[in-house]
Amino acid sequence: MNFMKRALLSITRKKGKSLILFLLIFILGNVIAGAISVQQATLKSEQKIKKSMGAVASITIDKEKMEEDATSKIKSLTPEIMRKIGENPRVKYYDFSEGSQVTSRQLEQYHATEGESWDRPPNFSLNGGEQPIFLDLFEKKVEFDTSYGQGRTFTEAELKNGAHVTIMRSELAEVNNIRVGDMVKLANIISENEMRTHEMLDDMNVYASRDLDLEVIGIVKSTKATGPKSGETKKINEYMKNMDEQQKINMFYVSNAITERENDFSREKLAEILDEENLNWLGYKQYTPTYILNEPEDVDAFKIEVAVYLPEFYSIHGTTDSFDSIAGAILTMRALSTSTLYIAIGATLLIMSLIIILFLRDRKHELGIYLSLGESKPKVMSQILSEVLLIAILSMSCALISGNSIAQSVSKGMLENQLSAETEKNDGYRPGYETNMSDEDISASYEIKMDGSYIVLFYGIGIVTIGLSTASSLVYILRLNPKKIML
Amino acid sequence: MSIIETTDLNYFYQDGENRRYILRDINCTFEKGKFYTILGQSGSGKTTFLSLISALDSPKSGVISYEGKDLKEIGYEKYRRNNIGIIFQSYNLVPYMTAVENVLVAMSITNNALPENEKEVAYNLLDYIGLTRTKANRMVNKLSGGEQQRVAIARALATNVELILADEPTGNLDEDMENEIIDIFKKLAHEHNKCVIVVTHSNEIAQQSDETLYLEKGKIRRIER
Repeated sequence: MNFMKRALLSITRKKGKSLILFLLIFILGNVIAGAISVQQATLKSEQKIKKSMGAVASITIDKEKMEEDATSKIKSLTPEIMRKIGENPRVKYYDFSEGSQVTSRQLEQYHATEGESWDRPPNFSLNGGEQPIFLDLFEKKVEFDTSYGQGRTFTEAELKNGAHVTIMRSELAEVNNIRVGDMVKLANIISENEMRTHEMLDDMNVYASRDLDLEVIGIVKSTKATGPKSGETKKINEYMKNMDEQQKINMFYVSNAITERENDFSREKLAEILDEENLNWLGYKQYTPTYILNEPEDVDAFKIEVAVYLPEFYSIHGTTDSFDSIAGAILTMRALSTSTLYIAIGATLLIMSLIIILFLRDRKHELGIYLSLGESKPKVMSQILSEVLLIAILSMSCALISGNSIAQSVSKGMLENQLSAETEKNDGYRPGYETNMSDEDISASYEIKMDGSYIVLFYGIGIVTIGLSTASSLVYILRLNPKKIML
Repeated sequence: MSIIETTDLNYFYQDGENRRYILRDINCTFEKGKFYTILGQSGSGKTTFLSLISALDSPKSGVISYEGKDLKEIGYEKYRRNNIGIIFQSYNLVPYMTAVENVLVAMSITNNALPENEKEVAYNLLDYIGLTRTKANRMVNKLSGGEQQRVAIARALATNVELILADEPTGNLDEDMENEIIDIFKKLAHEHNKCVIVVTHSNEIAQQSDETLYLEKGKIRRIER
């Protein structure tokens, strides 16, 4: 009849008290299990969202700092700096581009919204690059569309020499009936006034102009299927996405050498017509480096590690930076579940300590018998601890399942309400629309599961909490004097 | 040879600068094979004396030695576990256990060498004390007062100790039951060579013991027969 057997006898023979303890731990266990389930789900949801957002970092001019200081102080982000940053072990792939804006007297621009009248001259962008496999292709955002002919990527020589070759989007090719191997005629036009109509391209408002003829060596299409989504909010977000997509479609992938050449021409001509204040902007080259990192978790560390290389007024941004604005509902749920967890742990510690002390007072006589028979206090304490833990494990096992189920049924609805509330608060705009994350995507990323980490965490927290509350109550046994009880 | 001995034993309560003595310079010895009674009126210090020799409390001064060894050296807890069996007036049995389980509890706590078939030994012990196997399997709160006291005696004997201490063991029992319990004590002392010390206020019990000590105003004296 060692202390474990005594503990088992006590549990089975004093069914009423065992049941009270079981129910109490079960109720508190459900709260803890629910809170852990939600917390775990929000953590996994964050991982999923960040993964879908990608692990991309880019360097841009910090406009907030710019307003405070003169633009003349800005230095260019040199290729050497960008390459140095690219050597960071967290970087999987990188490229940097200098963008340029061009127009055309022959090509039609692609419009995302059909049926609208567009009288303005077409606006195309040139997206320069240093790498034969440009970033969109590396990230599998686009793929070659062989229906327009067998395309290829740039060669090293083409990039280095600034050969007049380009890769374009299939949607634009479709509008202009272009196939691989065709030539596209673009124009770099410097004008003193804003050009509002096609006719103005030939107007005397044009200060300087030169043609840019490019051979199409590849036509690519987006790998993502795009389609309209229902609902007012979705329409607004969809419109913003369409505008973004339109810009990407009206873009030509070229080498940096080409964009640099075109920008040099623009700078040279603009210098002749711009006033002194605006001339400062022409003094530096605007490169946009993009670094694809190994994991989304690398973003924060990468930002810290490369900050030392950045010239003044530049800052580094990661795709996951906008996580807080996108996943506000997830973060709210996590904060709520964390608070609930702490409160439940505190309540468990308090309630369990009091209940165990009350039970011990009730069993004072029995404890005195063991002590008078010469049983050591640690063994008497072990008996009580075993009793509580045995009941706790049993009720926690039930709470493990029920708490998870309750969290599953309650929290999903809460999250959806939270998401709608956030969108409403932003006048119908989904925060972070630019990341292509919809309410459905966020809601789908949130999934309550009963996996290993949940089980381990629940039992860990539960047993430690119950153990602590029991241990604090066991001080009562240390103070027991068998003489006072027995005689 | 004495099994337990007290030397200049004192116990008092400190009340400011004054000491209120319960026991004063108690010197006495107890031997195996004898049945002792300690008599005294209420408040004479009988129970305090028992609590000291059963190591439920420690003396303010003086020495209590078991087989020549100071109890402090043995360790109070260890002494209670391995050297004595205590019987209380109110039985003090674990209420949610059967009679045999109560005996087994004491057997599991002691470090003394016991036969392997503990449960069978416990049943035999209860049978020897006068409790059938059917009653041995009953919950103790379903037994009569006399039967519960028999369980308490069996528990005290179960650990195979030489010294049995009892505090008013028949206080809650009727006369017939009292005689039966006293017979058991006498048998334990005389047939099993145990030292049985019973604290009582009953002269009838005292008359049946081998030796009687009388406690009065904190002093002890032997009553000659």
